[in-house]
Amino acid sequence: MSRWSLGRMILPLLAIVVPATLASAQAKLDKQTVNVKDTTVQFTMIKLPAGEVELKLGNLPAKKVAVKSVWIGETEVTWDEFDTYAYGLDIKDEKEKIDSVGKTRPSKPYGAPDFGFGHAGYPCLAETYFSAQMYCKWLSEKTGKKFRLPTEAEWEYACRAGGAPVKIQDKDALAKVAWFEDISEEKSHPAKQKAANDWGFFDMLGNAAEWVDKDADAQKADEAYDKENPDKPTKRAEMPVARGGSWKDAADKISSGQRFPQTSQWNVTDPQNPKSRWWLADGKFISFRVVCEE
Amino acid sequence: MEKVGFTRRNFLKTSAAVSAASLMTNLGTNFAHAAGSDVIKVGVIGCGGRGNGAADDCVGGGEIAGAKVQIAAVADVFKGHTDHLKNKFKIADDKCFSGLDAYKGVVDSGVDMVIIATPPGFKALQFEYAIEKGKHVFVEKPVAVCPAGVRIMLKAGEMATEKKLAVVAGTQRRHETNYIDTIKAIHDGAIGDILHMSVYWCGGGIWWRNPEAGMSEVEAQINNWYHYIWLCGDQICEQHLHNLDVANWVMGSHPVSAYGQGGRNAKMRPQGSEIWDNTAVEYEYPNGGRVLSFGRHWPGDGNVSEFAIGSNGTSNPGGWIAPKGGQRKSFRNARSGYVQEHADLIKSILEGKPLNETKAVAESTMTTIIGRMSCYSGKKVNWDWAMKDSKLDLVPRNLDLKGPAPKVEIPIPDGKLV
Repeated sequence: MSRWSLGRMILPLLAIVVPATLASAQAKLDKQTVNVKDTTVQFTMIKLPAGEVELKLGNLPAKKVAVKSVWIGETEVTWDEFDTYAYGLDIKDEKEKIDSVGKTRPSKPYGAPDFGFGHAGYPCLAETYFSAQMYCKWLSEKTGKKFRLPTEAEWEYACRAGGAPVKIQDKDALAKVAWFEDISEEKSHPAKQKAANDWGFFDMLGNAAEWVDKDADAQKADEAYDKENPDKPTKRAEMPVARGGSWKDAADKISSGQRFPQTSQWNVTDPQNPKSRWWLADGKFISFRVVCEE
Repeated sequence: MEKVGFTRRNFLKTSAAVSAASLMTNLGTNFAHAAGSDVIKVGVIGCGGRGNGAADDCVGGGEIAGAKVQIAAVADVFKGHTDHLKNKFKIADDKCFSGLDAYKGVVDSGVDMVIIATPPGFKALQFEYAIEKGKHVFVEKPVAVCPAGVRIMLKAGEMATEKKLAVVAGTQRRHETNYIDTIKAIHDGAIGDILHMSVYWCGGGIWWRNPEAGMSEVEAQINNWYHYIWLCGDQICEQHLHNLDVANWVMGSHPVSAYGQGGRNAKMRPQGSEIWDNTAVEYEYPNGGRVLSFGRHWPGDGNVSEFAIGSNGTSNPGGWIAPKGGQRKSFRNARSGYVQEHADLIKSILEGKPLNETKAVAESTMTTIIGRMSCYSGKKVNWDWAMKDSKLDLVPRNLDLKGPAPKVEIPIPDGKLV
């Protein structure tokens, strides 16, 4: 029995229980290693089986969403991968490298986007949703395959390994699979230090929260809210959503269903106007993993 | 170790006494607007990303302090750069200024206060002019790039005190409760006497702006100012100042000397950039303590922070203390320092107790400059020599905006004090 399964047994108080789409939670899924040409970038992806997941997004009624079979990153994107893109390490021509900054590649970060937590093997941090999307675009161009961010349904389906929602209330059990406030020492940690879930995904809970593509119904609800509250300075519809919680979150915020819409606090100390569209000055808890459709 | 007639705690007691005395001043005419109007008119000099951000921060700071801030005039070397603030705050055309002397237009436009957010090389002369004309000032850091500029700042800062003008610098950590509370605990002796600090600004790099069509050499350099020493002062000055400012704050003094090294990896800087991409400087302080500074623009492990070792524990002055054998204690920030510094500035004006941070930021700027001078020259640079005798003056006084770039030697450690 995996540690995540153990956690679920400890806490079967879930409001929604969705039958696993696989006969066994221990199923071995296909894996592939992705190599990116002109670089030393290499990472592992796991093939999600097609299936269905029941989502409960905020105040919206629960709904069932079909998930196609796609490949999804075994871990969050690490600095080893993101540096190659961000610093143009794959570009040989110096002029091309300079010209790409702030256009197709991230602007130079004002400070240290790893916040001194650690670098090699650590999840990349503080990228905006836009920046994460642009990384996927670069990866698509380099590999000839279509990369993108996971949808909320894909992310939750992978996080739950096709099973019921995951919320582990016993902190000792949670500590076996996730970095969270009580044990993180106020920083992120290298990928794959905690146990994987039943499908082999690491760090979906805790360590760094992960950008996802917002669910269409949730987006409509946000737009309606903004229309009813025109005086609110922050427009919900303009704020992307992260999942999974992070090293800075309390244990009760770490679950497969908890959503983290971006707030102005995630970029409050960017001293520039306009603020960077590539980096979140205070996003020391945000990362992402990628999906490949082929 | 040589003993000096100076201890950290004595220094702090002295500072506190001076500070209390300086507050025992009569209110001057500079506070008339606070009594007679509920609007503080602010001019912005330098409308790049930071100037635009500081304008918003000032409005936010005013709200916190209980005053309405009106961004009333703007200036930038480049005409188009003022458009954002002009449109946002509906500023009349005759209050928008461009060119090298545009700052004078803003200062003389009837504002109560100015925000100076221009490239570092320009700040000292602009600050001096604003103080001469009786304006309260928010000045971004660093405030100079050479000893000559630091001397201008210090003299003008004294003038500000005489005129009862408020000056707050863009060393925002001094307005963040995580730093304030941690450093208070350090100064209260929580980890004993500070023997050593390491301070870091190791980040991933900096933007490069290609010359735009029709730009003169001077215009191109001002537009791409980070890469020219006469405008920027190098990375140790422009960015790493923040961490060295914290070091001076914790140590209770500026250093007495700097001994450094560094260089520039061709791959890390575009061709034409004058600045280095790494520096490492050891500073000696009056109590014999040392501060090791690391500045870097490389990919890889980053670190922008400070660390202190005391005789009885350790601390990150940005948020925690760990006394030896005791309980580690963390301190949180209450509000963005970028807004809080404006709130504190405006509050001090309203209360008739003007803050004046000129000396602290000028000394932190000088700390970075002697570090850079040591790196460039290969020599140990003493504070007193640099402050009194250095002839280094990098900023041309009669600059032609349409002219050729000032001639600056790209530094190499050749024994000369560049």
